[in-house]
Amino acid sequence: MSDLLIRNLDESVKLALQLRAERNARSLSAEVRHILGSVAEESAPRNALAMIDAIFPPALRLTPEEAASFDGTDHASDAADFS
Amino acid sequence: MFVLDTCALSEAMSAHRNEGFTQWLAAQPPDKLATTVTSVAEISHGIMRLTAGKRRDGLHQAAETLFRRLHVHEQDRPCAWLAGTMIALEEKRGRTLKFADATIAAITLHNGGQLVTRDADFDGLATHEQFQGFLIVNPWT
Repeated sequence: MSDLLIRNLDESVKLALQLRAERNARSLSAEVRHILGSVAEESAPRNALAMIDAIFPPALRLTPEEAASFDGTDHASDAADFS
Repeated sequence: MFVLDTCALSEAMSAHRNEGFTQWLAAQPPDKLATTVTSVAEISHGIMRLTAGKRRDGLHQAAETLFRRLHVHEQDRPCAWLAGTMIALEEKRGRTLKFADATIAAITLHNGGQLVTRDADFDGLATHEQFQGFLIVNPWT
């Protein structure tokens, strides 16, 4: 668990959140935790494909030649030196 | 836990991904995926051999981000011993298991994972009695 202090929050935003918290029978902190938690869950990648696509934008994807060279298929000297 | 071999990592980073592999990736929760320090070295080799510049810097950064998100299994002393044993036993059957591949297989087996690869060089390992627990997943189509 960690803490988050939010400075310069608009008064009207805070009031709206307080009203929302009362409606949901939660404290203001609990309400904000709930809101932040659901937003974080929505924006987290749902699967490994989405995660990788977020990290590697189209311009960074490997060409077939690059991918083949990454595979180690053309590494010249992989053998251990015991021979 | 699924341990991505170097070929699985480069497939994931590719512009033209294999259909079966892509579907498999889409079905995995991000926190079920791992890789090994060996593949970190192979991917680093692949990126750093490119011409210096913006693209290489971008790939370097993206790869670092990916490796922070994945579980990266280390190679400790038992894994290293296991890797050498694998090479020796494969040798006795007239097969060559490359040093890098042996470390990947050993780290995977030691951590109880399944290796995601299309590399047939791993196929012989599970035929040895002591490596029966070595499991391979090949989602390529």
